[in-house]
Amino acid sequence: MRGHAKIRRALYEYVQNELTQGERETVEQHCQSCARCTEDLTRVMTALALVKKPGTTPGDQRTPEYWSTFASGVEQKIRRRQHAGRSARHVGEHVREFLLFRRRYVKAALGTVALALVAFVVWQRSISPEQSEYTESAVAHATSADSSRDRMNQYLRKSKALLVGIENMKTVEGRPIDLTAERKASRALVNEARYLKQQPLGLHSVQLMNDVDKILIELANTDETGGPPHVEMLRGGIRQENLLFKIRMAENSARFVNARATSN
Amino acid sequence: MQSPPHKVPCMQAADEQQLILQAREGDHEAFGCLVERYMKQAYNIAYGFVNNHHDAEETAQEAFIRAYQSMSSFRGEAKFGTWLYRIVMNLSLNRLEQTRKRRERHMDNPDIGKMIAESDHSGEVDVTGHIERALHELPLLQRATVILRHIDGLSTKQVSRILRCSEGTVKTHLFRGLEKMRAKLQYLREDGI
Repeated sequence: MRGHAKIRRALYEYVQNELTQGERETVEQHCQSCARCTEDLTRVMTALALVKKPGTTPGDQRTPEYWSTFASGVEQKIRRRQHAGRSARHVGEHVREFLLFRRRYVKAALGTVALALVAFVVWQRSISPEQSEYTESAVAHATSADSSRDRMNQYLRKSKALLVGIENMKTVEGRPIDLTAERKASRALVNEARYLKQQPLGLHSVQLMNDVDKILIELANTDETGGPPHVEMLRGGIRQENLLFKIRMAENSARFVNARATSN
Repeated sequence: MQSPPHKVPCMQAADEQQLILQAREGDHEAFGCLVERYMKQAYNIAYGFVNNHHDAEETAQEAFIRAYQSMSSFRGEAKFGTWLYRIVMNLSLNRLEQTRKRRERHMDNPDIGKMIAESDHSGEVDVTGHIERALHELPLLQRATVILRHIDGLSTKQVSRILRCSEGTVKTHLFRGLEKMRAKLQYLREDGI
């Protein structure tokens, strides 16, 4: 046993008294002439004094009852895992056996799936008539919207003509004016407005009809022989509400919408 | 046709090879005998690494279960004990790694109250705690060598088989490990503890 490295490696066993007599003598002879290895020996002895082997092992701290059940605990765990593994294997085997030997049930299951598929397809088709009904109602709705728009345009045109007539009417002080035709036309327009207000028209259209209605109702309620003051009052109302301008704007807007619908 | 090995009563000093053969055949009783022979040492080795009774128990039991499941791959080139201790050591190191990761995850939210309670030992110096801390600060191979060779008292040959290295390497790691521990624990000596 020569060389520092070899001696150093043997120091633990030397201190623990695990070397043979010959090996011990070699270490001792080397250390007598080697300060470095002697110092290492001191260090190992100090280390072993500090890191003492515990008087009792951790296992000794457990009770005899604990150790008497340790092996059975391991066995139980092994059995549990084997059982779990076996259960998983058994499920697989059962499925395979079922598929191989219970053809009748497999066929029944496949038949059920096929029936379910057919039912699904039929159901899908049964939805189609409902969809066509829905389409028809949508078309009808669109058609009614178109007709409402047309009637609104007519309403605006007739209202404008009536109001322009009132505006341009010649009045002579003290002479009565025959407003029979205007009253009739205004009643017809008030009724038309009632119908149109129930149709899906825009808010602006409804507001405009309300404004026009005020004048038309006033006109419809005048005496058959209403005098010039009455006509002047109507003219004042038309101007105050700026009705002719509003009607023209509405007509222009409707023309623009129609042109766009035609181009599409 | 190979005749099945005859059963050996557990309490008798049965031949280990016989028990291993029977355990391979699925004999739970024979494997139970092996468990009884090695359970304390396996427990002590696990404790050396994981440093608490609960983890040591779990690790030792798991090692026996793994050994049982792998009995067919045990070729008998090493002793059963050496093979088993290697499993114990690997499982212990895995468990230590899991514990370290768990601790790192909870590092952001440490239980201050618990830490104060743990640090308050009413003035007594816990020498064993100091030694354990110094031991667990060693590099892996040095720590394993000190635990297996010095604490658990296995032979250099056994440790070299467990760690799969030469006996010279075991001795070198042991010397270095002990030297580092001496340097770390020197203050205990200077304080006269």
